[in-house]
Amino acid sequence: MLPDFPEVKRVVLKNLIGQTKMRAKADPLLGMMPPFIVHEGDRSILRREDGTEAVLELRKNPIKATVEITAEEMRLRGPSATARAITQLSEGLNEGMAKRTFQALEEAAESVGNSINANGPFTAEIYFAMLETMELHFRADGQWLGLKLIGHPDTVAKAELVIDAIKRDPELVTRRDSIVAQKREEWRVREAARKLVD
Amino acid sequence: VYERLLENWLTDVNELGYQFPFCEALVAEGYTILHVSRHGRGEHGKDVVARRSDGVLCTFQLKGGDIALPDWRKIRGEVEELVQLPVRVPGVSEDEPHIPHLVTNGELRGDAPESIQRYADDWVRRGYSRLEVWQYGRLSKLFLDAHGSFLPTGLKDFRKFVQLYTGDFSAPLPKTELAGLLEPITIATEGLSDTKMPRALASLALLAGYIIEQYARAGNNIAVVEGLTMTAAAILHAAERDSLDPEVYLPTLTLLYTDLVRSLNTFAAEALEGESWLVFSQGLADPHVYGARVTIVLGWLAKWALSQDPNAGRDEQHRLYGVALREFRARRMVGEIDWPFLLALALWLDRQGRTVDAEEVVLGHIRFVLAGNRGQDARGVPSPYWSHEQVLRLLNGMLAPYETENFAGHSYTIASALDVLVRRLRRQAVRVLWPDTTHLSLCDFKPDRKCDYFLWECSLGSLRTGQPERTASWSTWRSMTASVDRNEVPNVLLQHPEWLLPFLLTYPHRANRTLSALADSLIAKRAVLTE
Repeated sequence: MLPDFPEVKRVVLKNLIGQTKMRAKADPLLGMMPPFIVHEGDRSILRREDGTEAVLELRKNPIKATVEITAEEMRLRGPSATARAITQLSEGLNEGMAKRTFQALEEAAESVGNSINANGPFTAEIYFAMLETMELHFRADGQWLGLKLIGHPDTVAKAELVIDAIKRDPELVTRRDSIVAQKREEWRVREAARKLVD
Repeated sequence: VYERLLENWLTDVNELGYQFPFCEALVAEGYTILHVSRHGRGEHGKDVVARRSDGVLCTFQLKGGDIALPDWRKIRGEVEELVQLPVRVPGVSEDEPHIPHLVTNGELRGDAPESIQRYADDWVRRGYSRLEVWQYGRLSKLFLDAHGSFLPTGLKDFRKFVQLYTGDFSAPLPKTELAGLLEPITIATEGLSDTKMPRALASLALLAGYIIEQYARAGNNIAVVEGLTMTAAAILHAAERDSLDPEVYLPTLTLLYTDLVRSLNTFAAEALEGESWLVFSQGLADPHVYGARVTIVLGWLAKWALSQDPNAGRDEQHRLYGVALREFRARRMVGEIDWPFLLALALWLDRQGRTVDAEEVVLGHIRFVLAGNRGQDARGVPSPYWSHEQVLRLLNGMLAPYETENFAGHSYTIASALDVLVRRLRRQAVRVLWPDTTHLSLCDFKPDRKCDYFLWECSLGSLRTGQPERTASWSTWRSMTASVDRNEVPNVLLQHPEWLLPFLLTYPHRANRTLSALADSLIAKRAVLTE
């Protein structure tokens, strides 16, 4: 048997796997969603506010990523070979998780009728249609928490330009505030429902 | 190779340390244990009373180490009692003859064998049964035979055993590792015949006993009771899974519980002494862990107190209340793992008639979980899957960033705690707490098979999560919490309710809504069991 250092390798491996988690946290999209760990079992059943349930089979379709690392690279490049492999692995996993996330978001939006088909570039009308359709969230003092745009960076950048333009147009600001005010009332009704009754 | 380790263990252990493993070995050999001395020194010289499979009544006095002539002179009086005094055990006639056994894990030395022989001959002439002496060789054969073919044979399993056998016995019990040793053994018993199963279960208990005894030697009584509970859980798993006849597993399970009670008594005596629960080894760091220790100690003390005869132990219960009042102020809640410990404490206070105190304990847990989840930047409260040690590592900055977890917005235990208040008609308190609770996603894990409750980690089961409905109906909630469906809980926990609290304290992540309600039902009678 050749000399080996199993304990050192165990810790190194643990740290390398930890790096993939940290890269997921650093991802602009995935980092926005705090992960929730299911410690045991093979199913997660999510009960929605309307009483319906979604069952997630945890062992089906795991997200996978493949990375190739040659023996030559391992021998000659040392730790930088592993670093390259982990980076590639993390990117693959993050991409898989992002795809899965968008798929889940789309399915959820479709199922409750919250989906809007832009059929073209992002416009002020689409923005208002979005606000009308969504459930908006507010701080305890009633201040609107705003929106978080998620998507391809180019698409998000263009949408942000449109939203900035809305903020500069008093007429559009009034229209937006009117929608938000109506949503705030709906939110207040929802919050007032958090109670114990007979 | 196990033989070598067993020899090593048997040489080191004292008579108290091998008493319960000895009983397990007797069970495996077909003996029925009728009595085990709980206090160390056996009544009338009899540490163990058992009936052999052929019906012969046997009595045993256990000794540790070699017996030379001076040692024999010291113990001769006790051995005379062993031989000459009748057996006084319920269900056994005092007229029934018995075969006395002097057992030692050492050897007879020097002139001791001859002297013992002379006394034995004399006692026979006077009409008593002949004294049998079991020395090291006979004892080690008994232990090895007890395992039969049920010792794990794989190198990996052996490595696990050695790691546990050579652990740091002053530290918390490594539960994941112990489960990793015991669970494959219990899983492998599936489908064994009723004749083979008792030996397999006794062998499992014996194997665990070699490890647990070393924690006892180190005075680490919480690790001992946890180890005994994990061994019991492995047996309860098999019993529930195969719907075993109690005759098959009860001898081993009863021994484990007797040992647990003895260890809890030792633990309680230690905890009720002194003016604090400070541990002065590396004492400057003790304030960092003291608060968590208080919760653990109070939980197990509550179990101990609930096991006591309520009339016999009034003074001790009163003393415990005083100590609990003193220490409760020093507790520091660390995570949702605290829940079963606080539940046990609340159930004991409830039984003492101190209902306000009991409810305050539960309220404290709910407020802690809600406070940990309040605000935009809340970090939540560590889930019950995080052990006290792991949370302490987190709180003391000992974890790498990737080892942390997001807990915000979720709770595994708040629903169980609120249920306890609902059963006690604390409507106003629940009304105040409810709005904040509705912001949390309530989590509840249930294994698919009821026997899998007894596994440390269960691969088949569902985790239900989701925010509760914003508007809750008090009457619906009252009705829902008023009963516990028997079909939802492992049958063996209904048959052996004495194990419920040790199980929840050792497996805090199993204190889900159903089993928390079961504890409230069985111990406090706050809910009825229904079909």
